[in-house]
Amino acid sequence: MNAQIGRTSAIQIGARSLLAFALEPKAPLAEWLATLDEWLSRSPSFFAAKPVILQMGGLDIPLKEYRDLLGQLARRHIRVMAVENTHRLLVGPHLPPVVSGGRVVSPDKLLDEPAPAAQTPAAQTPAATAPAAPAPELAAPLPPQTLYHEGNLRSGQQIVHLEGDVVVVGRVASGAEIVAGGSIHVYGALQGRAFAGVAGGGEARIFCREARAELLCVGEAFVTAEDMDSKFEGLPIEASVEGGRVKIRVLN
Amino acid sequence: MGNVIVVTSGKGGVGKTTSTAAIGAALAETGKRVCVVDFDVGLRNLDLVLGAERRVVYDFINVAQGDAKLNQALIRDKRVETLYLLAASQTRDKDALTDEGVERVIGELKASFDWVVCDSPAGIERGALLAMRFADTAVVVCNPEVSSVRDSDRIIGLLDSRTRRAEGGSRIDKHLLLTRFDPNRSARGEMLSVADVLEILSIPLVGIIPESEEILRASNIGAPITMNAGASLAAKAYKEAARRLAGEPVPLAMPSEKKPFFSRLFGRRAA
Repeated sequence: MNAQIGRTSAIQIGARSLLAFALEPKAPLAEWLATLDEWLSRSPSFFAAKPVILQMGGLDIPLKEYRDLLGQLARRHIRVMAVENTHRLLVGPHLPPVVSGGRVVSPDKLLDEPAPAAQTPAAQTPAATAPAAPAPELAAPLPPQTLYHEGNLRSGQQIVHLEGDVVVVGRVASGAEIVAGGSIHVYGALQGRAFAGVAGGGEARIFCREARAELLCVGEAFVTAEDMDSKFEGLPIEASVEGGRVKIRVLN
Repeated sequence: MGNVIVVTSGKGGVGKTTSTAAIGAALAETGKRVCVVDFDVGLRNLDLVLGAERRVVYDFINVAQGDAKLNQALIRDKRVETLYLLAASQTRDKDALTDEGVERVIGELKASFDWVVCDSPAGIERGALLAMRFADTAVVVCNPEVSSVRDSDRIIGLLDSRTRRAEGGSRIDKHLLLTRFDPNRSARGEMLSVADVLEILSIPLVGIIPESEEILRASNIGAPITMNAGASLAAKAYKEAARRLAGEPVPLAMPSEKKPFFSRLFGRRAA
């Protein structure tokens, strides 16, 4: 009997943008750990089960000390899920993966309640910028929020809003950029770059009154100005994703 | 290993981007693999001059920070197939570039291109210093006027002190590219003469680009002058400059003034 040749099923690879705490260890490490301990003594399980990233830019240590540091953190129930700005020698299969391009946000975005100002002598350490009170659990996903921008977005300006839609009442110039977790609405000419749906889900769309975009990206599909059909140039359009590709249609 | 050229000037508006595009295109037209790199993060223009602004997906910052591979960010020119562009980011600033990131990207470019031509931002701050840092050769773009010459002098000082080569005890090759030159105005004393500029800057002259209307037209069309108006005097001057940079001995003719008939008649009286 012949072997049956089955259809290979595709693996769905998604992408997520999440918030994580960023800790920045400073030399001398013993002193930094002591400060951390002092702070943890007030909120012992603050980092337990929370995503933590190490920001290694200010630290140049050999591999052995790095492993020790990870061990020390693990003993304090801090699990390092990734590192930023690390030396290339501190990368390996049994070490946390390297990430880059992280955006700085206020730590209270990770919490339910607003963080009170830190008033410890250790105010210099990044950990101290987190609240001193015992921390609540990670916030449940917030309902989508819309960000409104009145006026033109000029070349070089950028709006990043991962929590929902972005509405621009004005023009988005060449060289300007909008990154939205949800959809993007531009009531004017879109001449710059628009990234919609970066928070996942294929529902996001881009709407604009006048299509002259340099790049349209919806979810994981994108199209550059060059690859866009010129018949859409200057028209009001909607861009969505269909079959893994950006689909543009004229709104009339 | 490729040769890294930085096109720099200190002063803005003297023609760095135009010259980068023209020299890059001229070198590529000889069949060499060339990558032009825009270091003007936040005020990028090289993509416009090369007509590639509608094709930029990833940029220099993405590659330097490891978010994209070099191959993903390189844009191949449609007219000259050995010419590539690495665009700058418009939404970031110069602080997004680190020494290590730039060194790694330049190293990768050197490994796969014959020429890496870096378009420096104006000024003497971080962006300009990073653009020159890993260069082997510098093209100092200068207009025949005093402010440009003084700024060029300042840049030459930095090229001799703040580049990797200078710090290692060796020297960076420096060449002067005199742009927007008008022989008639120079003869009337309204512009510095070639000799004046050379006397002050005392680095070898690699080319004299005549003031030309064709250049603005080419930039607006999105084509380097050597492609758009290949037969023009400016394009010829750029092509010859590129050959000199490549080490070919090309004699440099001083542009002579073309006196109109009346000025020949009344020239003596005017003087």
